[in-house]
Amino acid sequence: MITRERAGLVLAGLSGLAMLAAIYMALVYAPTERTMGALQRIFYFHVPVAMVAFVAFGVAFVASIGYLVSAERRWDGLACSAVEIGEVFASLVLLTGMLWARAAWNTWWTWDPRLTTTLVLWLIYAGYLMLRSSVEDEGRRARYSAVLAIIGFVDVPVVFMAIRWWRTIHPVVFEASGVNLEPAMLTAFMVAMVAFLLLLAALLVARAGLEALAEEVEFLRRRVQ
Amino acid sequence: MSFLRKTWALIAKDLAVERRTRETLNVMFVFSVMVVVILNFAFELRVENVRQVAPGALWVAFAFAGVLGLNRSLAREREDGCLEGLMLAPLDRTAIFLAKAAANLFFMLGSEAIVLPLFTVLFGVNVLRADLAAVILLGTLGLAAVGTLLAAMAVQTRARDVLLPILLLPVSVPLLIAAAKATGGLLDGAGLAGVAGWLRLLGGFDALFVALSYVLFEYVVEE
Repeated sequence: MITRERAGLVLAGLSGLAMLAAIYMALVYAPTERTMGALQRIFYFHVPVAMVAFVAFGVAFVASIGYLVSAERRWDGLACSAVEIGEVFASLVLLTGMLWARAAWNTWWTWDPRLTTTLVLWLIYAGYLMLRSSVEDEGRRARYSAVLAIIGFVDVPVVFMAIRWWRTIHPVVFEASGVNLEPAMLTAFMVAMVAFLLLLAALLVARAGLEALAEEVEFLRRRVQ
Repeated sequence: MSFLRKTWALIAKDLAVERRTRETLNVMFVFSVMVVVILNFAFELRVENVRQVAPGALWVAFAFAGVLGLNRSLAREREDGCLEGLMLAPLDRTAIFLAKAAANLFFMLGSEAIVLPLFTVLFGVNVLRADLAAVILLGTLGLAAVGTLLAAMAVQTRARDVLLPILLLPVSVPLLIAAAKATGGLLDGAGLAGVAGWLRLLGGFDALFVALSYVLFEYVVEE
């Protein structure tokens, strides 16, 4: 437990420092974009947050397979921690995306493939959290959630393909342009990326540690009774 | 008994129950008619040509009625310890999945078949066509497979029936997009070749999720 706690503290400290650096890089160091101006700076947070959400759901997918194969509870703990964190970050992606879209495109929402996929993803994992909260038996909860996490993650590329195809038949209003990044912008972006991945690691260790503690408490309570 | 005969015995059980109670088909049919009627009211006020929204309306009716039928079919297994009985029987778990999915597919297709002529009348769009039947078969197959898996989980939770639409509909988004687009293309006279891309997507979704549900079902009924 002590090693896990120490790892969590180190990760939290590192991600805090990296986050300060990322804020500096994004707001001061990176040059102002020509057409969008200061507005574009939300990019350094929006994109890493999106990446973190996808990585977290990916972790949940792998951990869920791990649970079904091994039936060890720590895999379930990891999976549910990852989904919880992923869902928070997916909400942040949607929010920052909407803010940016409103300012840049003058609309809160467009049915663009990436936005829509993120929304569908958010719904799938909201279902995951509801499923977890409505099953009491631990083994059953772990199995059901693992099954849903696998189904949901496998669905992601299919959803993206279907939506991209569906939209390309309609006129594409907003070109999802490949942003050609200035070297200084790329540096700022990479720093933000590292900061958010460290944050994800710190949160995962803390949340999974909490799950392990809850399990231990449950074990001790049963022994006392 | 061979695997196929056991599976068939289970399907026959569901058919016999349905023949005697007529619960599932009736409810699904009336519900889909209601969805079609309500959508007509909802669109009529704003949409100039209701025919334009026919593909979407058709698939909303099918998906919602499907959720209802799937819930009913799996909830029935929970009552009176039916599922425990099935688990005690010398059966492969996969046979249970195949039988339930096949029976659900059958009921969904059955209620859809009765809805189609009514839809033709109410929307003024001829949906009684052989090429459309292929799209409906592909779309319903995917819904029935992944729906059987998710419904088996949903009915065992505290939230019961409420959970299934929340689990099933987001996962089925690609299927519903492809089915609605293919239906629309056919109604616009594109022909099967014209919607081949959407049919491939439907087929791909079906193959992927039938296989996945088949493999994962074992973990859902394991007690």
